[in-house]
Amino acid sequence: MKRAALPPRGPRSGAPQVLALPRWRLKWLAAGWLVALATVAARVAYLQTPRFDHLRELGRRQQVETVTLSGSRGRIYDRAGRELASNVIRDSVYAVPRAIRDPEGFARKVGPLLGLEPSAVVERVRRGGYFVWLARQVSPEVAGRLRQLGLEQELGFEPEEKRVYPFGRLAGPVLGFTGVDNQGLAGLELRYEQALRGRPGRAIRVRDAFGREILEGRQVLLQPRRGQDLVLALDSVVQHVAERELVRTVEHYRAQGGAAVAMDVRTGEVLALASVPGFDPNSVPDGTEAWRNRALEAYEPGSTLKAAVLAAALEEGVVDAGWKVTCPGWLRIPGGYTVREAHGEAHGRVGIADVVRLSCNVAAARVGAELGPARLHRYLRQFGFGEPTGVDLPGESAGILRDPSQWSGSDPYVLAIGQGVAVTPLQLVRFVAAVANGGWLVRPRVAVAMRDPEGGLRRVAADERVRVLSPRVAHTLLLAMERTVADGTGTAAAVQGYRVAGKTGTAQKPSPHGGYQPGRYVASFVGVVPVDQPRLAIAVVVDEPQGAYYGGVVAAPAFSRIASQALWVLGVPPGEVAPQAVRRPGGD
Amino acid sequence: MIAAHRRHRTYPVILPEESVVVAPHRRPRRAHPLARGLVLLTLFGAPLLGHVWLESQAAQAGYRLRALRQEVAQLEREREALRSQAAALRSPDRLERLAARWGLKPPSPDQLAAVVVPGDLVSRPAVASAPPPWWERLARFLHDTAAVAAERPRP
Repeated sequence: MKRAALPPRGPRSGAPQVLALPRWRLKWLAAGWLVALATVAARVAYLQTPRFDHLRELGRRQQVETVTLSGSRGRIYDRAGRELASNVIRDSVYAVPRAIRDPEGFARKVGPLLGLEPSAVVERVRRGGYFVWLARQVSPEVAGRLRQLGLEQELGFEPEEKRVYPFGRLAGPVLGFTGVDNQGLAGLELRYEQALRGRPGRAIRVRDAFGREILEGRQVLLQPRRGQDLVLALDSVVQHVAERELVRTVEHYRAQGGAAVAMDVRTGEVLALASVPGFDPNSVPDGTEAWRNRALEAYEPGSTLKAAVLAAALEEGVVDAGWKVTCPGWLRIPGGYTVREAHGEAHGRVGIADVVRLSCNVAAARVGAELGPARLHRYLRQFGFGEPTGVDLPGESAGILRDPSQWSGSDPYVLAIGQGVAVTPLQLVRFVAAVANGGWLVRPRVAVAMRDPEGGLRRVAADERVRVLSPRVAHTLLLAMERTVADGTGTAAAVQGYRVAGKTGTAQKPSPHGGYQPGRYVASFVGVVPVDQPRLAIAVVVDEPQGAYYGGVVAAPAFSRIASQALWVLGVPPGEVAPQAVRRPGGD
Repeated sequence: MIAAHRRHRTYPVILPEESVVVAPHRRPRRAHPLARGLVLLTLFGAPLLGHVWLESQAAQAGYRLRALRQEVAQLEREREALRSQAAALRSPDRLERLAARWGLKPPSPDQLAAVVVPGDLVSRPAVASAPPPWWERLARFLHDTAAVAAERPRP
């Protein structure tokens, strides 16, 4: 095809000319292009060969990431369906050190809002990299104020699940608490960690150049699964009553602490388990001392153990309804020791009921001696002392019940009055529940059921009970314990309209260096209500009360207040009219 | 072969005067290169553009979906927080403090009365009512059926 002639140009115009550049220019242009192309080709070759893996990994990290999908932790409910532990979503705050040009200025802005010293923030930022935690699970207010700073490049927020306990301090030592990564660290949270913890899922997330997630690129590799909910036997209101009365008693007597346990005698379900001082699991104090659950800790019980010794003696036929012994107020025992009465008074002729009614040390010591080490040990072990009850709470003490081979000649005497042995309040209340329910030793339980995410409910464990007393002996002992409240050392435990049975206890605290600590006592009361149709077994233990220290004075009134309110809450109607209580200063 | 001789008759006709013109051979006209380019561009480019547009729309929808998901997550977050707050408002300790502020106190034993109700009375309605008319029962049936269907989880 013929080219169109160009208009004449330049001085040599005159004849039609074809557009043509000087050859040297074309050569330079072509050379330039070639060099540019060669440079690009070289760069491509360089990027695609030696640095390929590194760059591919870099790109993958920028665009694609594997994220963990949170599997929500199961909630905890009380027996009435009230929420005791649940979850909320909170923002955790991180910094992007690479994006921070002025660490000091950044720290001055961010530190005060997070409650951090600016120097601490600077120290974290100077570590470099793309990610460093500044604070986990901050409040919505703090997160909002941080967002208002306008540090989009320097600050990041990651939503995380935080465990919350709506009732605050209520049942803190029972519920326990979780760590910052929502793992159970104490109490029921630790005991049922496997069930409560959800299964986290995994997904691949793809981001665009602006860092926004591209939904089309999202792939869920593993679906997260919510943890199971836990339904407790605990009743929030009974628990509140127990804690309130225990705190009141501990404060009134300026005691070191205390514990109270309320149990359904028929099933072993723990309706309340209070430990003072407690803590708020929403803000767990430092140090394990504050996390103690005194209801699971062993102490020397003193006279409350006499009921168990008398039960063993009745079961073995060592004593019977006609059994009598003279109490002169003291008894010399092997080893050169002397057992004395609490007030030093001589009880005179006492029968089996008086062993618990008057808390007669001499009579109890004689019963222990007649039983002998082997039988006494066997029965105490049978009643659940010296081994954990198996309650579904971590950290339960087994108590101390030495093997008879280690006993001295005086041990049967002193064990019978509750010395040289250590029990937990839960063990005591469990034994008294056996006395009340006709002789069955039940396994205490705090959690009763688990509910899976689909709503299916299943029991945590089947009821476990073992007969340890004959119904006849259990009934005899229950009536003897009723005398304690009617006209014995525990009259302050009486509940108007209900028949109450119980046993007081006052024990000197043993010294770590041997012997006992003068002026330091543990006051306790353990009882059953109502006697005609036993429903509740309650133990109250107060550590080192000041001013008064007898169980009948310090612990029995707390028992009465807890029992009366708990019976209202549970809807237990008054039964037969209680025997007329003769109020007098409480004794042992 | 004996056959009838076919007779031909000639009739005069007047032919038109114009002579037969043979059309010259014309080469098919080729489209302008620019037009061809445009057609090609349309044929190949339009689907590409369409694809890009669809991709872009999908991405935009994804962003809107993402925003909605974030909104759902935010609402769920608020719901959990409100649920926790509601539970805290029902705490026995708080209710007791409120009750004390309003002058409420536990009943004294003489203010309590236990009413023993036989089991058969508990399970029987206190006042027997007449059965509802048929149209009311039908309405209840339909309403209940619709409610159950609404609550049934979708696959």
